[in-house]
Amino acid sequence: MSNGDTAIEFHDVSFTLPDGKTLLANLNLQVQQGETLVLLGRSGSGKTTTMKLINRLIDPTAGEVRVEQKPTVNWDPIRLRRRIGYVIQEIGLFPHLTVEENIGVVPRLEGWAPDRIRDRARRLLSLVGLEADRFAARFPRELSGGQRQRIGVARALAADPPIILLDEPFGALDPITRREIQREFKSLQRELNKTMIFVTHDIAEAFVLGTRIALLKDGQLVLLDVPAGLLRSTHPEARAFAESLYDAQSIGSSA
Amino acid sequence: MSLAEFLSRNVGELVTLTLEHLFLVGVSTGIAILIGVPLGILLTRKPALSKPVLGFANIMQTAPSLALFGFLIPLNIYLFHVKILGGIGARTAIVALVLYALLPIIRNTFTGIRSVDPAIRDAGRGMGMTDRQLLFQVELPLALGVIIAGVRVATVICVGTATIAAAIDAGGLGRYIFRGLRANDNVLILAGAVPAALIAIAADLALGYFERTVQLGRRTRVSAKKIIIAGLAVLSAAMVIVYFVVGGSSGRIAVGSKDFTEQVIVGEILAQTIENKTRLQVTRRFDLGGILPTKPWSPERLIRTSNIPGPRSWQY
Repeated sequence: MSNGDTAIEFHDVSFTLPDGKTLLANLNLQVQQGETLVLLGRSGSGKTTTMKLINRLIDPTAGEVRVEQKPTVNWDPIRLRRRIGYVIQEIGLFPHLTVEENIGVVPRLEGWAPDRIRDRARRLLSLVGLEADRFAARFPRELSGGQRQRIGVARALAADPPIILLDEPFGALDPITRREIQREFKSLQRELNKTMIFVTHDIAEAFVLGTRIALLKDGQLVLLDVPAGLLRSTHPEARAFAESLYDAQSIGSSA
Repeated sequence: MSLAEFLSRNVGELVTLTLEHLFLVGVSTGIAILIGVPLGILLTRKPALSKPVLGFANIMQTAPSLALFGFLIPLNIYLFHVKILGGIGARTAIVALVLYALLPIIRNTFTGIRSVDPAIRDAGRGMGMTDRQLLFQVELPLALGVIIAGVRVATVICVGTATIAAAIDAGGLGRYIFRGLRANDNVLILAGAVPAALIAIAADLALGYFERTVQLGRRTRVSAKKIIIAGLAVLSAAMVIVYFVVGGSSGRIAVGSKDFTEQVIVGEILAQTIENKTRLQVTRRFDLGGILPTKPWSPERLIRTSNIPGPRSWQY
């Protein structure tokens, strides 16, 4: 599939809980092959729900999600998920497995030979900026937050999936480590050319990493535009996020 | 006679009783693991079942052990012509001990798996693990410490309760304790109680050590865990087979009595009479506590009946 093709599509997708609470309403969205779409919004705006609809952790109650032109309900969930890398906050690493074993989970499920898994894990470690010899045999609890996050990214890349979902992957990091790992991630993006969906509530992060930004509020898509478009928008929610960006800068310059 | 003196004079018997005791505890705990762990896993998949199952195990736990032993004796249940429940002896004791050991094992398996961080479970599912892969590669390894803690509690309970099993001729260190109680001999009581306590402490320490070695992120090899689990399963399966082969003998009849002189003599008379008048072989069990269910049954009639349906006792 070449760039410009649609990797993921949402057609009038809604997700309603059995108790009648609507988490996502009439979402229409297309994600192009190779782009990074940032889902931006406050807590409870439907960002994580949107993610889980893509890898079928949940199914839509109305409408249709298509991955590579095929409705997700027609995908075998296991096959679908193995084509999609998944990064969540640091707790997602398996605490009983070493770094190398964590990275090798999907390749092992896919039945790769042990040697190939080892090589792949070591290559990915150096790709995310960690020395394989020092880190391969460690357990997650022996790592710093930033290191764990890099392992999380390496693990999602392990079986070379065309699509990667990142759910607030850098949310638990301190601001300095966070900026550092964002910069590294940015160069990784250019190198890998994968389709990525990135969830965050941090507008600065959205600006640095997003090809386009989808702004969600109370389960509704209120804006879908390139980062600069968000600053020009007159929608109150877009203004609120844009102002939080200016506030941070003005506090920074006055200090 | 001091305790040390008594034990040194009776080393042979002490070893036999200790081995009997370990056999009871090992078989019971093994069977309880084989039933309890899969049942605990099932409950995490079907939470609606958890209330009734845990409730049943809870009730079993609260039943007084002596009453449970007594309750099981008059039962007479066969499965494919092999007697699986009822009568005096190790079989009935093992059934009761398994019922006691079940609760901590089921409960800890259930709560151990349930307490795995939902984010970790989501990560595993999101990476494309099937339910089975999630169970064996994520949930069970993470819950293993809690499950072993349950096995540890179950084992210690079994070591203690197995002393009472001597009252229904299951053997073990309880024999010394019951004999000592009848003879009013404190040394004899201690000769049973002290080794039983030592076994309980040793089992607790050993399983506690095992529990710590499988804690999160320790450098134990996963393959080692698998070997231990597989070994345990094979051992338990072997024990189940031994249990039915040993317990399933037919064409024999057991004559039991309390361990006072008169009862032993009456029992011996009865045993010899049966041997002389029938082709049945008689096993003499003259060392029991006083809890056999009391059903009036005349010895004449017992002797005339060649096919004796179930355990009977004769009170005089």
